[in-house]
Amino acid sequence: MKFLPPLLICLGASLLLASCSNPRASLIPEDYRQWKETSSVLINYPIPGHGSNLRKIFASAEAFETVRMAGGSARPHQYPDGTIIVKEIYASSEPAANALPQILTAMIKAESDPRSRGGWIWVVQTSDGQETVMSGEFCFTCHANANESHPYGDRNEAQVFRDYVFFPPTP
Amino acid sequence: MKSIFASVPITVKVNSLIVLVLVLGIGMTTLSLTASFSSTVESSNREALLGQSRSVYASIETLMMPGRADLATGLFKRFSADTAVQVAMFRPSGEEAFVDNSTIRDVNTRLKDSKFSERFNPPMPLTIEEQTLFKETVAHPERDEVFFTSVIDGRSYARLFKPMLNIPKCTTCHGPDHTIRGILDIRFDITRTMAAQQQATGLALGLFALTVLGSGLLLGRFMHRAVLRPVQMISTVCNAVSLGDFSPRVQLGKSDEIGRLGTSVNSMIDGLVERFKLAKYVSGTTMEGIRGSEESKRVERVLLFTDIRGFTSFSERNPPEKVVQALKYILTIQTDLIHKQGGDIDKFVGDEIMAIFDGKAQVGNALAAALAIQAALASTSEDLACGLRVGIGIHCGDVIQGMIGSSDRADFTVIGDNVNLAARLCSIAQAGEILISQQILDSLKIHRYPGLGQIKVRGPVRVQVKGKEGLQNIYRIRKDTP
Repeated sequence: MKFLPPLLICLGASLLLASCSNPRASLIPEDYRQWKETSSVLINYPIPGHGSNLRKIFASAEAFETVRMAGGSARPHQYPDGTIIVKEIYASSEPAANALPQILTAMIKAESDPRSRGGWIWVVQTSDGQETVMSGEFCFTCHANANESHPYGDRNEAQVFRDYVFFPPTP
Repeated sequence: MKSIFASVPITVKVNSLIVLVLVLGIGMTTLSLTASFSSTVESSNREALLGQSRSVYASIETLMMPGRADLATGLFKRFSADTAVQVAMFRPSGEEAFVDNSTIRDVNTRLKDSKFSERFNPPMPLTIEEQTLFKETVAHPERDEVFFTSVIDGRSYARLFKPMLNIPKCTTCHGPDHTIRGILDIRFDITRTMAAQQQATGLALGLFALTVLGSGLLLGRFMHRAVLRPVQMISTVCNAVSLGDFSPRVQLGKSDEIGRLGTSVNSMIDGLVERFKLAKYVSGTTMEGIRGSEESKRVERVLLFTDIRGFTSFSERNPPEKVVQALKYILTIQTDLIHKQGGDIDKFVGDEIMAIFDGKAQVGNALAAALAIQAALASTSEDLACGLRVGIGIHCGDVIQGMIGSSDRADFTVIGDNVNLAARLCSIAQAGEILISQQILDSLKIHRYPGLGQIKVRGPVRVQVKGKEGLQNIYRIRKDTP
């Protein structure tokens, strides 16, 4: 019994140290709003998973550069590691001008990361700051449809591999 | 607590330890093996189910895309024929898919075309527990799938609810207003596997019990035979020895450590017997000297010598058996009476006895012994003592007590002039006489020794004693009979 207080202190200290040494840094950069939006079309038509809530999509510079490099190559939409695409989902289809998004979702290109699916890490961040890396089929299955013909945008009738992005950013 | 533990018999301790070790050791092994076996089977079931679900999902997707829902229903009909693996599909509302024509109507409306013809299949309801899980699966499409087990008509199934998502390409026919198209219900008949598992577990437990029992018995028996019983045997023999019975010996018949202990115990008992017997041949003084430091010292003692009068001529006239018998009888009587008075037989020399008395009442004790001896021999029957009598001489004074001889072979005895005087008195004493020195008389006069009764003293007679200057006063004493 003599050892109990020092043991508890040691346990507490090690737990504290453990949590300190791995700060949960956000995978979604805070300045994503400075990036360009991928689509000029207002995206608030109903789609499975989002209903008719307004979506705004921002992509990092690499995403645009990739498209610029396209033209004739077999995989024109192969985004480089480090590309980040952030999709804001608002609470309604027509939110107020200064309203904040309810949910942030992001695709982060990282081919060799063990958490990646199809080469992207799929992240969801709720309004309380809680961030989750999606490990299941949910986001991925729908976005896989981007590489086949789908009902959105230019519909990808040619079934071109678009690296899971429905609206490839145009420069 | 410690003392309670110490008093538990070693047999119980050993057997308990054996059982504990076996139960813990084999038990833990069995448990961990059984547990890992169960979890392996379970995870392999899940993988099978998942694999199955992916195949079915892909099939449905592929069949539905060209709008061949009829092929999808045909697929399910074929699945339903296989009782080992059952596949069903449910709408998010919980109704079984393909049971009625509501979806067909929806699709036809959306496409603005009566593309699909109507048909009908019988429903398959879910139980209450299944409904709860179902609702949970519908509510959390991001979780991918829900595994559970259920028992249907006495058979056990590993089951899976997997949500089928309404992906963009499906919305053309099915519309975009929902996320989940349906739930795949795949079940895997694990009745045989579970039975096999239970059998294996039962077998493992049975084997475990048998092993523990068998090993326990074997080990217990071995411990008993190898250690416990021999220890008990040795203990019994030692107990007998401590109670004075030197006859039993340890008989183990082995040459291991316990066997050697038994042999040692036997040697020890032999040694004890030897010593015990030896004590008969060794004076009390010698024993004390051995126990003490065998050092020499000057002490004051009373010396009593006895000698059988006319023994030599008696031994010449009589057969050896009679001589030995008579000698034995007379010496025994004297020895007993001397010991009774606390005297110590220093040595026997043929038919002579040399005895030493010490202590506060040494003179009184010696006199008592002498008087008793003469009285006893006087009243002994003819056939026992053959009419033989002893002469006794008693004297007291300083003597030197020590180890007289060489270091290899010695007598622990007393020497000195006073010893010689006592011996001289004995040689003068006639049959039945007790001769005492002046010093003894002086002591008798001072202390009286009432226990001796009335004593008649005659003398003095003056004699010359070898080694002593001048004549010594000798007195004859006798019990005064009225």
